[in-house]
Amino acid sequence: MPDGTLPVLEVRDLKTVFQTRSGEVHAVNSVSFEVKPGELLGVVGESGSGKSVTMMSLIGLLPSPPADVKEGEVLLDGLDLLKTDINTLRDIRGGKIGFVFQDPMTSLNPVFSVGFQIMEPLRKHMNLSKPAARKRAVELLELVGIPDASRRLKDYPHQFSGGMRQRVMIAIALACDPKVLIADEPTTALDVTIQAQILELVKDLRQKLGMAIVWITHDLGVIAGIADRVMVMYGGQVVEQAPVKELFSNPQHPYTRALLETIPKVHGARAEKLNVIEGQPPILGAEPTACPFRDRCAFRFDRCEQENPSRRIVGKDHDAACFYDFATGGPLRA
Amino acid sequence: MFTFTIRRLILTVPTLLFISLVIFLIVKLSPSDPTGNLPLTIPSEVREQIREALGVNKPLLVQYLLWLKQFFWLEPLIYLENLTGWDLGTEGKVRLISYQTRSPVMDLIMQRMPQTLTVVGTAYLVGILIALPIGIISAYKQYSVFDQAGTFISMIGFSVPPFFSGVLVIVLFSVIIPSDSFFWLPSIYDTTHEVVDWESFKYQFRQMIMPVMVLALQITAQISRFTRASMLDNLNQDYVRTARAKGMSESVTVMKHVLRNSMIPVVTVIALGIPSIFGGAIITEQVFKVNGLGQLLIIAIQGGDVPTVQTLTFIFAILIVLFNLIADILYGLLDPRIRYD
Ligand SMILES: Nc1ncnc2c1ncn2[C@@H]1O[C@H](COP(=O)(O)OP(=O)(O)OP(=O)(O)O)[C@@H](O)[C@H]1O
Ligand SMILES: [Mg+2]
Repeated sequence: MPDGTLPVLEVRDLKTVFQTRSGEVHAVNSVSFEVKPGELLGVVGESGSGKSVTMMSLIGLLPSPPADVKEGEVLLDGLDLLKTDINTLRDIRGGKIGFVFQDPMTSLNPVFSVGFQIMEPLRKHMNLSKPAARKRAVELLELVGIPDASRRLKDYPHQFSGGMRQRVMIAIALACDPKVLIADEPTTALDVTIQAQILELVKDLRQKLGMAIVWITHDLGVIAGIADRVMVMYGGQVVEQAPVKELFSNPQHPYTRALLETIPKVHGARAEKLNVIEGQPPILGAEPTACPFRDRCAFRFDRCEQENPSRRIVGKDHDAACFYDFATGGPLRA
Repeated sequence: MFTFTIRRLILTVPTLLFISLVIFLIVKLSPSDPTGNLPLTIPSEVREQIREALGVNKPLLVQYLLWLKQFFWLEPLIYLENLTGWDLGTEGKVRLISYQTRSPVMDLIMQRMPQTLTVVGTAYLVGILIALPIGIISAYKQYSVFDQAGTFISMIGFSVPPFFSGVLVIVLFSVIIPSDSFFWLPSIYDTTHEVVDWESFKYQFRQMIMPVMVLALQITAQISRFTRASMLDNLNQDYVRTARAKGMSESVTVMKHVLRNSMIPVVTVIALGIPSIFGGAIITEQVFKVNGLGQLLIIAIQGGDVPTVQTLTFIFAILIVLFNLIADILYGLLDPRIRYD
């Protein structure tokens, strides 16, 4: 991938806390990452690891209260999104940053035509006239592979299948030529063949349009197929980050290793018994003072109880937040 | 949509015929005597003659068919004649006559319709206009002070019946407040009052305040709760997040995306409630002496005036059937997911 180019999106030490009736939930703890133009960053991690909350925090989409984005910087081309006024932020939402959500069945407004919903951001962010917006909407629908696009503009979401609706969502997200596309589990709700089609579409679009993509998923198979770089999240933290090949061949965090082992393999006629990671993900009532993965970790030792490991370089463009050194096969010397 | 409407319209015919039969029989078979309110000095043979003349002793089927003919054929013709001035040959035909007043039932209804429409209709309109913003803001600012206050007022509106709130406002505004005060309001609705100039308009306005207030409280309570619930259902939907993620402002998100969805059930409920303008205000009309349709119905029931009771009840039934149909059609028009054809 483009080396040496400046990142379009840079996130530094992001912290998001929910104030709930039963106390605080520290959903995102000092998350840092960056994406470069044209790069596809895969984000994996089990349910509740803070993937969605991280992405929603970036552009202020979390309802506040209860959410409070406490600290950090979100730099989009040098502009700190956490400090801009709400109007600038609204111009960026749907303009420079496009969002695609998990469930295409409910993410579109059922009472407005698909054409209207695509034209809305076009008219707002690009100040297009109605005919111009319509023309662009047709182009967008063609771009995401919806046949007979100009006729389908006036159709309503319920007249589209799930896969088609997700294509419409992608068209909306791409409407204003975003610099960053954030896709939060966009294929989880779709069946496997449709999922493959959407993945092909995104690969293709990335080539054509050259924007940066952040792709959230639980599915390591998907990551292997499309990502350039992977970020693994656990307990509201980034635990490992590496180029995709490196991550699969040389994982440096026990959680990543365990995650890779959960991928079912087929030997001969019968599949092996499925591997699972024992235990439950942590509930983050306070800022973690120890490694969040320690209770489920096979490599833990005393230091893991006393300190929360920070990310350290373990290879070229590869870091992991762990005190265990897989290179030497023993605890890292302090 | 068009064929659906036609199909539904045709279906209403058997429905209405069935309802008319039920109403006719129930009213007819109830133990009530049209001569019951006449002075006791009238001998029983004369009473019998009066009953005979009223047609009470004819076979039920004959009475029913006659009533149907008068209601569905003769009365519309007469109405048309009055409207256009044509002669359709209704001269001398026996109309539906009230036992009590000996004047045609339809004329009575037409006389009383305007009072009911002005008072109850205004209340309904005022109620809706107040309820919608309250419902929307309460939902958007859920659990805020505004929402709590709205909940409290709705609770009162739901639980205090108009015969209590009506008397309460009369005591407050007509009795406790001295009659030379600006805030004094007349407790009796004067239906003979005519609006000719600014002064008489002001008086009309003043005399409408209390009945409208009492009725609107109830309507506001219902519609605002319903709007709030419907808004809340929609505010948490994924498409709202999508609208925000597209960079839409809060006003576009709430007043366009959310409201458009929330209004679907609300509009239906409003349409379904319109027949209650005619029927549901019976008590309020009594309290404020508005001589509208509700009061007419009560007097007719007390006097054993079978034709009037039958006709009024049946008109209410027609309105309910009609507005059910309208609500269905509105639902189809507002919600693209519902396609009838
Ligand atoms: N509105 C909220 N109030 C309180 N806690 C919340 C709220 N939203 C999310 N959280 C908490 O934040 C944590 C992270 O949630 P998040 O939705 O980011 O997980 P995720 O990684 O996206 O999971 P999934 O894969 O299931 O989408 C969870 O523990 C969740 O309980
Ligand atoms: Mg999520």
